[in-house]
Amino acid sequence: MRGGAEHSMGSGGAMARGPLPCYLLLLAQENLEFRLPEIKSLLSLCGGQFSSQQEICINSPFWILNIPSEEMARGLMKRTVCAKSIFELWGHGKSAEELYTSLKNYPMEKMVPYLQSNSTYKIHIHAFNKTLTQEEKIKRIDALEFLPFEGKVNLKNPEHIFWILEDYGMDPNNIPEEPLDLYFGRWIADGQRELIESYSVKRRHFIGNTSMDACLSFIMANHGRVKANDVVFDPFVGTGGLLISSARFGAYVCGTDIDYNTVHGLGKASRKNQKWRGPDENIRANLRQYGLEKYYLDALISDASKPIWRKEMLFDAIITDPPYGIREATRRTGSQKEILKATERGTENHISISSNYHLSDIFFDLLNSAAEYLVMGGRLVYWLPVYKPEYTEEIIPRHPCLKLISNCEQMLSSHTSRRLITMEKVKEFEDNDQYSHLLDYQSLLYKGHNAFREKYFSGVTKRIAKEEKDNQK
Amino acid sequence: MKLLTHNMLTSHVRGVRPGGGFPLRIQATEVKVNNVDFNQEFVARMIPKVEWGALVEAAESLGHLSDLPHELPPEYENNEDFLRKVHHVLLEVRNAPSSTSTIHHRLPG
Repeated sequence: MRGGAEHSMGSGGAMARGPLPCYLLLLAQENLEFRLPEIKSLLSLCGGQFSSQQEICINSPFWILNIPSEEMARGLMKRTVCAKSIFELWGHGKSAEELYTSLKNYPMEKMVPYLQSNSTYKIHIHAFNKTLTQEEKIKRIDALEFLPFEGKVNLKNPEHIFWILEDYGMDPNNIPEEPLDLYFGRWIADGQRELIESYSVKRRHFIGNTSMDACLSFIMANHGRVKANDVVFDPFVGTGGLLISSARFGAYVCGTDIDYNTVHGLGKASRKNQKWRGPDENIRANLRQYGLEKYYLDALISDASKPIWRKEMLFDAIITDPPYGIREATRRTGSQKEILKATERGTENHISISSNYHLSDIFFDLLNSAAEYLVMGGRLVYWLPVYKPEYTEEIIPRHPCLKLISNCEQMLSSHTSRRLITMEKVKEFEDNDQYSHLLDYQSLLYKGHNAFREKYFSGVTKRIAKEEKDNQK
Repeated sequence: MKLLTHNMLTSHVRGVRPGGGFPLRIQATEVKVNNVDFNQEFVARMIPKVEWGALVEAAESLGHLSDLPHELPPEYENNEDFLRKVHHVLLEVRNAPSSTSTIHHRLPG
């Protein structure tokens, strides 16, 4: 287990001793930092909690979890984009002998319903960090003949699928002869990895330069614990990409955005020969493409810093990617001169992120409106840009009504990253809460941080960025 | 804009209505109706959040009162007929987007 951002890790371990069934979760090896908060959020959404009898290796594709019921395990898999499959764990060991001993100790009455003579089954072998030959695979299946398989083998359409999973560690340059861990389990369900392909930004009608990668956008909805019949709000809605994932999970969605030239200009630049018709049409059309139009409420042009919502109308989640002027600028302009030009142009507008709306103010307003307009227990999920040399946990904006749930880093370059921040409303909003956190020194720090953009393009970092670019060529 | 959204915004600016001229004044000439799949659970969930009087008033001004009663009936959760009417008013009736795009300019603050 690794330290750092996953500070809440492992807390379930101590309290979960007991008869809870063991499940093996097979995870995808990407977005590693985002996986634990996703699984935790989804388990709590399903009415459970994250719990594991043994310490979990956070970067491993294999996690053994204790989940109260198969139904909950299925509920988890209906939502996760981080995990590939889940298995009812029948046996586990550090060597083949240990695995077989463990299997022999698994209660017969739990196996029998799946091994009956009128059923069909197959055994699948999965090795991580190693490719097994057909001969090796057959050897492993044959070694399991002590299990009372009564059913008929059916490779095409079996009723029950059993998996042997072998873990050869994380280092592709140092693959051990024998697996470090072996598992045997009954396959229960697959996760929602196919959504990543079917909702790919490549095939979406309307995109902006900052359209969220499909996988991350589903991760955001999962971190936000979005569920059916929720109302989800994005105050920086853009082309509405983040709303698509929430709508896919049955939530009704709405958004606002500020009408300023940069966004519109970039919208046009994102794809050739494509015209914008205003955020309403973009978002509706995007949802329509996926058959989710019925979940569309409205997109309004509004300044995110101004309260427009009635108090009683509370959102179940606020999920957003605030503009911080980096990817737009790097995409559109190649030189420092042009960036300056863009900034000048920005000042002509009545609202402009780059010139008038400081980054610190964006996050201040965002947290405040989340504190005010979220239901109790509702979540705010947003990206915070980070200039890495200056990052400490203290710069993460706080609010007395919001509790930090998770904080996951995604690298943007060698010196910048963004962090997916998830907060939960834990206290009713009162008017005096609005200013209390203004006094915190960390928000002053972030005030200094409104020059994120300048730092990004400053002499040193500009050189680094150029070197990176050259290396990629 | 759908009347659900309209209702989410309306109460906030009520205070300025007598003097300032509420920006969400609805004109019947701009009404559009779209079919939206009925979701009973969602409609039932929204009703407690909606300001009922304002919803009825807005529906009436668009000419789509749809038999909505002025008083919210008791035990509406399983009253499908009623919920379908509310669904129609909340999610299917809307005024044209052009008239909604300038809301923020006229909001107070």
